[in-house]
Amino acid sequence: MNESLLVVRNVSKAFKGVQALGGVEIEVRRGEILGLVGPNGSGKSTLINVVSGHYPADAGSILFEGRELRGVAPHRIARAGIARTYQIPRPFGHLTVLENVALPPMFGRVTLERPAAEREAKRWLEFTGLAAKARLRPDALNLHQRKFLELARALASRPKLLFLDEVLSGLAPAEMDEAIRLIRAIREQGATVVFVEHVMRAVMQLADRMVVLMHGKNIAQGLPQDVMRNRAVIEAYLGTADA
Amino acid sequence: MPSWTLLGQSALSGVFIGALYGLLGLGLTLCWGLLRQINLAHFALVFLGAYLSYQLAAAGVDPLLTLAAIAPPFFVFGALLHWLLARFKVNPLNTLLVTFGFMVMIESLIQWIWSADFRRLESHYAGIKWKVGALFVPLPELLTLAIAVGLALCIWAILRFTDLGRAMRAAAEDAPIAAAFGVNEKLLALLLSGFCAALAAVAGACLALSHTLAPSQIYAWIGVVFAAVMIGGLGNPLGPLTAGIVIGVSEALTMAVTAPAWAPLVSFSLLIGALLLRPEKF
Amino acid sequence: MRFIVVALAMGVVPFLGLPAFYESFLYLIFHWVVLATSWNILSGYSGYFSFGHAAFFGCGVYTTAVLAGKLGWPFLWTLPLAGALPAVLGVALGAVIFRVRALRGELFAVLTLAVTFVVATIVLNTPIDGGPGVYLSAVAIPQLAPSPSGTFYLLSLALAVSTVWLAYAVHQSRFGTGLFAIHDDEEVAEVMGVPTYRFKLAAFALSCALAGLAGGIHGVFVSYVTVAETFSGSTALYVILMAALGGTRHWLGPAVGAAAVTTLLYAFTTSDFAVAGRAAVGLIFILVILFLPQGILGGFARR
Repeated sequence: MNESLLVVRNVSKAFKGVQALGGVEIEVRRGEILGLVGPNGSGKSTLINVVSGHYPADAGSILFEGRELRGVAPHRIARAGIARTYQIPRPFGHLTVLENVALPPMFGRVTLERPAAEREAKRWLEFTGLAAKARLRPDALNLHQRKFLELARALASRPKLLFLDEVLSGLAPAEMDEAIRLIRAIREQGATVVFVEHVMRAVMQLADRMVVLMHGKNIAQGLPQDVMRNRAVIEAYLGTADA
Repeated sequence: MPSWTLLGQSALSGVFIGALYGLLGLGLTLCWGLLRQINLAHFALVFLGAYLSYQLAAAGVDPLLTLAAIAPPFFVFGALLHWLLARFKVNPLNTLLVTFGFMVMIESLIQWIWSADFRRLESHYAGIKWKVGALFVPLPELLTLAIAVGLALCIWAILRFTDLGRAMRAAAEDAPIAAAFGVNEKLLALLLSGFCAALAAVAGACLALSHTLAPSQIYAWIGVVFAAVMIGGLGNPLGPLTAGIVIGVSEALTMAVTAPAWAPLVSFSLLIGALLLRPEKF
Repeated sequence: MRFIVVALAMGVVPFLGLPAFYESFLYLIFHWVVLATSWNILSGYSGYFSFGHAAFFGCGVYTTAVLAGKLGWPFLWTLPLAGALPAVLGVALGAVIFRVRALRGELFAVLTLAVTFVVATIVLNTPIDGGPGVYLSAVAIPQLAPSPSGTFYLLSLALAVSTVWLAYAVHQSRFGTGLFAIHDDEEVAEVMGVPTYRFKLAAFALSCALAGLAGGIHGVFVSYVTVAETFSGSTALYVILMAALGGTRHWLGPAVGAAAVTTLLYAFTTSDFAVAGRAAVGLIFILVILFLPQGILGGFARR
């Protein structure tokens, strides 16, 4: 029986008059891969930003393992075991790839000393195929590698809950298959994954359950095949051309 | 508790000094707001202009007319400065550092030419003052106020209502897009930077009219003028003037009621207050 | 390790019987090493460029000036307070400023510049100084070395070595990694678990304390302190120049820059071209920012 890991209840967030999230209700179960889809502007990235603490929510409740996260400082949310990638990669420009990935283990759920953190980082760099680039700066990487750097960095803190924000966008089909394989492997390691994606093929392949957001609200939730047949979803959002 | 007359005179002198803050801050706020260029050398330029006015006035030229000779070379310097910063793609924080270097160089130049002694511009304006009711209104300060208000309003109107102004604001928002619409943002930037330096010359002339000059005094103005610029809102020509007058009057009243010592605390506290209460303005 | 060896080796100098000039010159270098390196711990590592280092230096100067010069405390006893008071001031300011997300970059720089003026004004207009300056020539100088200049040499040597060692320790530590992450992308650093607010406050406090200690020693060294000299704009300029020249990402960078600039300035002041010297420093500053943004040791910045 899968218990709830994260419960988002009635969360709202507005930016200068634009209501990005308007009372979102989502439940994430431990050990699942949850697909989060919706048209542009539906609030997917905002939801990730709010849960991870990048922005504070205006209202609502975010319960992680029973603990309220709304209003908690972002670094404490990271300590609790939540990690995320950024849609447009945001590595630390002056640090090497290895140092980038070694940082979360020093500050995340487990706080390791530098030598242990670097060993951990090397492990995740191998996992994502970036081991050869360890001593380079992020600007020497191409987009695909930078996205995987985001991934390695997020994984390095051994999060309980991992948010992936459009990890696949901009990737060639072969790179995409590799990413899908990685995401499955991440779940096997024990993390729960919520991934935002436009590429429906990937969502159908990977997701145990799906949530559809529209205008900052959750309009459908459930098994992928059920959600895709949901009348409201079909009417509101037909997905991208990639199938 | 001081008399009403004293308070009134204090408030009036606060308005006058506030106008000077506004005039000093005008070039600074335009460059910072519209060009993302924080020009610390602006203060040294103001003093250089003041000293040059003093020098030419000593040779018999009317202090305000000296601007005809001083403003054009300053304009060129301002344009060159912007060219340099743009050429090396200096980010906003580093413009502060580079212009800091220029400020030191200009200050050294001033000290080399005029020495560290105090200089006072003697002009026929200095002696004239009128009595309005119980209050004294000295001509140099009144001139400064008039020039400050006049320039601020003109520039505000230009930015608001003319094509040139619109083009400048567009370039400030998003230079590449503005360029795509035919705005020659590189030329506009050079012109604006030059204009700000010319404004420094004007402020310098006004400063020379009512203050004694010494190279060490350059630093005394930095804190309060930056406060006026920030409180008034970057890029807003009316900003430093209104904020400056508020600061000036608050300082003057504080000085009249307590001790002169605490005046800088007033501007600093106002600044902190503004930054904490309305940080999104930046 | 190497630091202790260096310290011991250099500690021998006052006992070699050299003319006082050498000790004073080296004192100046150590003095600037402390100021530049302490500035760098906050500003270079985390990217929060402070233009107000002189405020905390001056706070230390006047703490010692008042305690030793006016209240008769023994010189060395004033030093802990000369370090502590600026740190408290820094923490108080940081507690407010670091909470506001918008007060970064240029705004933080300008704000810290303003702090210097405020502190200077308070010192000038209260009994702390009051205007005429404070005479410290009557303060008894402890006999740590054969001569007074030797004593100052040893004191500033000890402070300089400690400061550089602290910069090194921070650089290698988890704390330093956090600061460097804040430098690159503070919001992401926070989301990755770095307690940015706490770290910035700690760096600020450390930076201010070291500057204050340098101030406490310096006041007695020059034996007469004035507000104009102590809080002058050049301190902020030189400190940033030295760190930028040597490399702000390297723990030894500011020290290298400090030695270079101090020697350069000294060469000018002795040749009757003091004013030209300042102008030259300004020019070098400009050239460094434009052409050598990484500084001399910039290429060696890795652990």
